[in-house]
Amino acid sequence: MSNSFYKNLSILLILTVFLFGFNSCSKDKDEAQTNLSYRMLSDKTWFLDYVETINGSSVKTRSYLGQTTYFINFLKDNTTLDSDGISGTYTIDVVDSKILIKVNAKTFGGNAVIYNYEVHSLGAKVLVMSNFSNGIVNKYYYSSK
Amino acid sequence: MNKIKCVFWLISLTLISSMLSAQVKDSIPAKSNLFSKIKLAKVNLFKKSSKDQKESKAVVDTKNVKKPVAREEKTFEIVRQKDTATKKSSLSKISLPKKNTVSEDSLMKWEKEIDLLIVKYTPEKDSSLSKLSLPIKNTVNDDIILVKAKDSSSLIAKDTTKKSSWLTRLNINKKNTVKKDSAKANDTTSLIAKAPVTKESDLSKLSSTNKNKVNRDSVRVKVKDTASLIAKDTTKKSSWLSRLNLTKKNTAKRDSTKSKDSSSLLVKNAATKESDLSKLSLPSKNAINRDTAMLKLKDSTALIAKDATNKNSDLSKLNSPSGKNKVQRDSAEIKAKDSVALIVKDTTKKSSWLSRLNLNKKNTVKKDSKNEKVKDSVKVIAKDTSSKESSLSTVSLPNKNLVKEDTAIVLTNPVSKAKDTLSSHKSVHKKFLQYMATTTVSLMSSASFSKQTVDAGGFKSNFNYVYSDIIEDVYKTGYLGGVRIDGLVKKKHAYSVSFSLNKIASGANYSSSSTLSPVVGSFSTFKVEDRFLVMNVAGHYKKLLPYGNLKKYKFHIVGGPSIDTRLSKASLDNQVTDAYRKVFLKADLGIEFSNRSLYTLFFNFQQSIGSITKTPIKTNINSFQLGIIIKAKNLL
Repeated sequence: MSNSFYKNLSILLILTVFLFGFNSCSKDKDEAQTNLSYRMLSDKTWFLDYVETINGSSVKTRSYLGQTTYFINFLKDNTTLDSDGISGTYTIDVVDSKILIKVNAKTFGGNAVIYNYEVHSLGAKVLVMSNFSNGIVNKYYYSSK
Repeated sequence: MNKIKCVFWLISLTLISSMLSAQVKDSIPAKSNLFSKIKLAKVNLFKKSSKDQKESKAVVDTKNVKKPVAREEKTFEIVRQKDTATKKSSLSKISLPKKNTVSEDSLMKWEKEIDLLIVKYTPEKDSSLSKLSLPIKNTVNDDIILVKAKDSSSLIAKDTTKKSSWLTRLNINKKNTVKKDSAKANDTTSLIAKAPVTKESDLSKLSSTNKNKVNRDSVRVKVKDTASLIAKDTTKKSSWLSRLNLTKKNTAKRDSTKSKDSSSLLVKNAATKESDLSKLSLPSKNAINRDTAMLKLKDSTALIAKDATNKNSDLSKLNSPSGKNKVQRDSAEIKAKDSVALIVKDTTKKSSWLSRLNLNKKNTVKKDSKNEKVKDSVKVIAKDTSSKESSLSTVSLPNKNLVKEDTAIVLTNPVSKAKDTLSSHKSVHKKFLQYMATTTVSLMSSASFSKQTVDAGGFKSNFNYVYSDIIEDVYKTGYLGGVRIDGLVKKKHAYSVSFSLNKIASGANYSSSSTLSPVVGSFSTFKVEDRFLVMNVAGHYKKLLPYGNLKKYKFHIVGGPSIDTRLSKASLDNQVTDAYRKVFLKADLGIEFSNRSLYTLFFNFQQSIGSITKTPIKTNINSFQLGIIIKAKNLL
């Protein structure tokens, strides 16, 4: 039981603290992204402010600021309802670090409507997502009020 | 007819010869009675069980040794009366060969053989007891041999009127398992010591032959015994230890009290002038306890140290050949040391010499780690400078079989190791007490104010944070509590080591922002963690400021590193990015105010060294701590 023993013991204790610290928290980033997306998206009404239509190299931007515009609600119970009367459910998936929102809804007439959105940027107040159809990319800018 | 006559004459001749031989046996009744008594004693000892042997070992003392000697004096006087025509009598040869397990029948045969030898004995004028050989090849109880040796040596010792008597050779060879009784050696030496009138005694050879495993200690003890014999012969003018043969083929458990008794008897031998012990062989085949041997060695060396009046003593030969088994060299070296020590003691003797020291070992000897004791004994011996003459003729250490090649004597004493460990424990304990005497343990508590500075310009993420919402360019308030130890390094440099848990709440200042055009406004892709729970370990050097009344107030400037280990989980925002590190390294600088050692107020500024977040995000945190330190003993 020499001094070197105590020195080694103290070093060992410090190292164990560090190792436990480094290894204690390693949460799945995809799961964290999903949870954070739900938290930011749900219980809010998102109003459409801008629409960008990207067809190749051409980009058209339409602004709906200050107008009666399209909105959509994402509720906590994973249901959705928009201003067009289309209601249904939604899910959020993270694929290859990309956040995907899938809407499964029906029109008043009972027609099924399926939307797939890719989230570009999601925040507490600004939502930017896009969809791809017929070679044209529509990029939607929402804001929560 | 001729054939019948021849047969008749042959039968008649055999009858006549047998009758004549019977008459010759009856013609020497004294000698036959003498040895018959000796043999009866041997037979009785042989019948003893192991328990009886132990009891006999315990009973062995000077009193018990003297009694049989007195009895033998009478018998020996009878023998001398028979030898009145010769001035110097001797017993030339007594051979007792045994090949199998000794029993009463074999002993009876043995007696007969001895009787025959005695019948053949023709007294000479200058004859002596030349050889007494007791070869035993199979299992033999040592007690029998001991008794024989006792009787023979007692006979020699009792011959007090002889002018130049000597015991030339006593060979007791054993080849099989023999439990050694150490009392034998004691008895023989004691008997030798009791020869008070002999003028010239020689201990010529001390040979310890070992054919099986033999503990080194037993050999040491034997050497001790011989050495003690030499040393005790304080008044002898020309004594010499001719030969002491210690043949050992088996492991023998040794009784240490025997040698002590013998040495004590030797001390009493102060009147003998000349005595000769030519050969004394003590065969032992069993293991011998080392510890007892060490005690014996001490006793013998102590006795040797007292030898201050010897004038002429010779240690001619010290032979310990033991040729068939493994023996470690260390034991031989120790023996050589002992013998050399004996020689050193004889430096002032007038005509003493150690002629030969043969330590042949072939048996396995367990190594004794108590070499230091032997060295000590040698030192004691070396102090004896009163003897005048000594000589060492030959010291040979032949090893013929497996012998460990430890050329250097490694002094590894387990007792000393244990002492070292104890001393190390004590020293550590003392250092700990000294450390605690110069240190004070205190409790600390403070409020902390923290802020982070973030540069996340190159960081990309799927989430956005409105800049105006997240920016808080202020110091948010947290708190901490912990233990602090104050002490001195080399009694000069004050230091403090603190262990604390910090609840950090920090503001954030974003030095860079991003945009989401056509959306108006600034955004950030990274949001700082504004709350932490960290464990802080800080080591500060304290420098006293010579300001004010130092007897009442003391100011210290403190500085040093500190390490924060994040214990709390990251928020969900930062789980996505996994940007924060687990450990933060900080530099501390502050000032402390001590009020009559009652309490200490401190104010520290901490700045992180390097980023507390992973690249490409660069985040620095700085904080102020304002708190109080109170000694723990004042709170208890």
